[in-house]
Amino acid sequence: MTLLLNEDQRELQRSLRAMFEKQSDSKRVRAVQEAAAGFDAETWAALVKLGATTTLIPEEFDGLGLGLTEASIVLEEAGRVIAPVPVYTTLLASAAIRATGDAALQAELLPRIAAGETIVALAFTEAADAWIPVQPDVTSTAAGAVSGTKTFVRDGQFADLLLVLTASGLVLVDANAEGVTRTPLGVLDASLFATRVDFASAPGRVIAVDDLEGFLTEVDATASVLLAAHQYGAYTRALEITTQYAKDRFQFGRSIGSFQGVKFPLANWAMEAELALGILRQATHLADAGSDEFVRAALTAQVKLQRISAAGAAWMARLHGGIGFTWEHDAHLFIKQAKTAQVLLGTPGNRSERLASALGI
Amino acid sequence: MSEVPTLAESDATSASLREFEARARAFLEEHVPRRGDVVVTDTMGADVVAAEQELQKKIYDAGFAAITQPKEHGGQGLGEAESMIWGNLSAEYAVPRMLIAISHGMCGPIINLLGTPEQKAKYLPDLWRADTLFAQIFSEPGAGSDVAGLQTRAERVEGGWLMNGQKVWTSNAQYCDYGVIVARTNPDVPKHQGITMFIIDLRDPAVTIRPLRVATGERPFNEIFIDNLFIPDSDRIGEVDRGWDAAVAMLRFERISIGTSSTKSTGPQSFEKLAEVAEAAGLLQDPAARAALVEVYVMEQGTDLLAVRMREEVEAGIELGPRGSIAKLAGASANFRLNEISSDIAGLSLVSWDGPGMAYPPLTKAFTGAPSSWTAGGTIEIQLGIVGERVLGLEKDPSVDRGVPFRDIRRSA
Repeated sequence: MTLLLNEDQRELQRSLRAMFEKQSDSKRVRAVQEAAAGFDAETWAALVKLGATTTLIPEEFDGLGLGLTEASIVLEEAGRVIAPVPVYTTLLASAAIRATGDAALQAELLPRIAAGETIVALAFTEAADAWIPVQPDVTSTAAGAVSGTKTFVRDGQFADLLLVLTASGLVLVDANAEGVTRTPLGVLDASLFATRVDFASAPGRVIAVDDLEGFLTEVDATASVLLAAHQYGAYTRALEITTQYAKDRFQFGRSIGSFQGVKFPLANWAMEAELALGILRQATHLADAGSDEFVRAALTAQVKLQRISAAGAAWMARLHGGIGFTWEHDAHLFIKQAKTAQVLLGTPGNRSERLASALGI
Repeated sequence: MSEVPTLAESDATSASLREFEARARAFLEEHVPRRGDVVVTDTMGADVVAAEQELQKKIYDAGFAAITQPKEHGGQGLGEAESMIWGNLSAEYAVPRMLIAISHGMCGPIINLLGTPEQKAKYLPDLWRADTLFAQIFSEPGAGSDVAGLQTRAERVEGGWLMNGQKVWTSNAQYCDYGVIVARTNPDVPKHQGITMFIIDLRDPAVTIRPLRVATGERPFNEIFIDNLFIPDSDRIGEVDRGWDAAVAMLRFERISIGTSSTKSTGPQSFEKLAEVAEAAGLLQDPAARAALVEVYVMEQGTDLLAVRMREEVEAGIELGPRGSIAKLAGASANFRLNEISSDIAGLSLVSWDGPGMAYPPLTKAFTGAPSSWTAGGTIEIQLGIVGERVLGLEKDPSVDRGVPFRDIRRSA
């Protein structure tokens, strides 16, 4: 086993960090929010060019054919700058399409996703407790006509295709088809986009999956890791920014980082970051090794990041004092990102229970 | 996946590491019982000490003790990687731990670092072979986190030093032959500048060792009263009044040995054991108990995998530096949290059982013993300071006693 990155992976990390630092600091999030005109197309194009959006697409379908460790690196780096790009959606959709086991579907969609031509969004969520409903209310006919309402469809407004979870299984729906109404939702985290989608007998194509429960378990686990990676990136970046501030800000004739009231939360934060990284790397390592312990490790990573990341962002604002409450400062961006991520896949109660089941208790 | 081999795999030394690992595995399997097969007692009786000492000699003779120590004074002359391999493999076996943790983990290394050639020749070979046992004698009733505030005095006399004072928290001193001790040799200079380190003979009649009873009801530590003990100058370690640097170096050895000792949680507060406790208590369906069990699992994965990752970094030749102290902090912090939530998991069974009052079940015993892990080797607060200052690079706390002669510093009444 290794929880350390190899040289290729470190190189990927370096080139992504350089790209994001040049391309996409928090100004992008702010610009995207002010313009209200969709995601950051320039950063997205740069990511597509690097192949970073294709790490989970096999080489035969024009992807990089890498693993979840590399996908995690992509999201960590995106998380550091809270990049407003549909990279989580794309990596997750690629994994989901592969997990269907449908060879024709993969051959049809994955090259288009790899080229950055097509965005496929997962339309699973119906309620606030968990992103995958146990009993979906949305229905579909044998011919693939979908009816009902999905909510919080990540990047739904940009999607060309929607992979919809219905009471009968999976249906692929053209997002621009008749009977599909997409309404963007208001979101706290300006770096992400979500849509309510109303289906009124919308025409779709049934995607047969032999083991739907197994498919959903794997997709849930993959989503758990991808989100955890994004949370980890933001968590560590917020720590770096706050540590630097604690060194630069002087009060009472001392840098504030010399006060234990500031120093200790930062030290705890650094410790939590180290703990989280081991758990995250273990999860991606097990995924890439094809281990059946992956699901448990993935849920562990999500529970860990869910537990710490919003607290990290809150400490960022708290330790910055007044400046941390201004619109101009990035602390609120980190708070909004982290609080959103904390409930994206399910409430802490839901995630904890999922892990409890995976642990056999 | 990438075909690039990891550092450790591409390194020529990895072949010898694998050979070492195979040898260690074979030795353990043949000579040492599995950990689960023996009853572990935290308070060591004289018979346990004698048996462990015998086993330790066997381990030494096979080449698995003093692994990183130089060959010329009885060590193996190998690297951190071998030491970690042995640590990980032996974690599953009932090798002596408490017996040699201080002798081998702290006292031996400091003598090796600062001792004279005569001291190394006189003390080290017997120490590494566990023929003699050493205690570390730093803490005092008035000097815990601020060890440099110690008040035990050593005054110059003809041919050596005369020592008086009181020490505390000395593990297993009643079984030890020698102690490495720090004492104040000059109270007229700032506190760090007037301390000297010595080796003392614990069998000397001027030394009184008294067991200290702790919250578990056991007596794993001792108080030591020193009344006019003569120490020859040849038993001074390092220079006069430079004992603080020596003590710091020695405590650093301690943090290394605590932080890298294990990568697998197995105790009564492990997820596996706590799940059994919850089941036995009929609490497996209780929502708070389930949430607490999940939290325990996540914490355990965190500390176990951090240890794995740090071990892999060391094996790959990456310098851990002060980041190593994060492992110690994480272990103690997790342990603190475990005590908070063990009641959620065990309910009444944490505080009541069939049998005599002091016959604590394993979880209860771990609960009562936990404060030791929040304190030993530096309190959690001291560890937080270390991580803040040395890992994150934050400014040190200003010291009000800096530059003040020791005799003028305020102390507890």
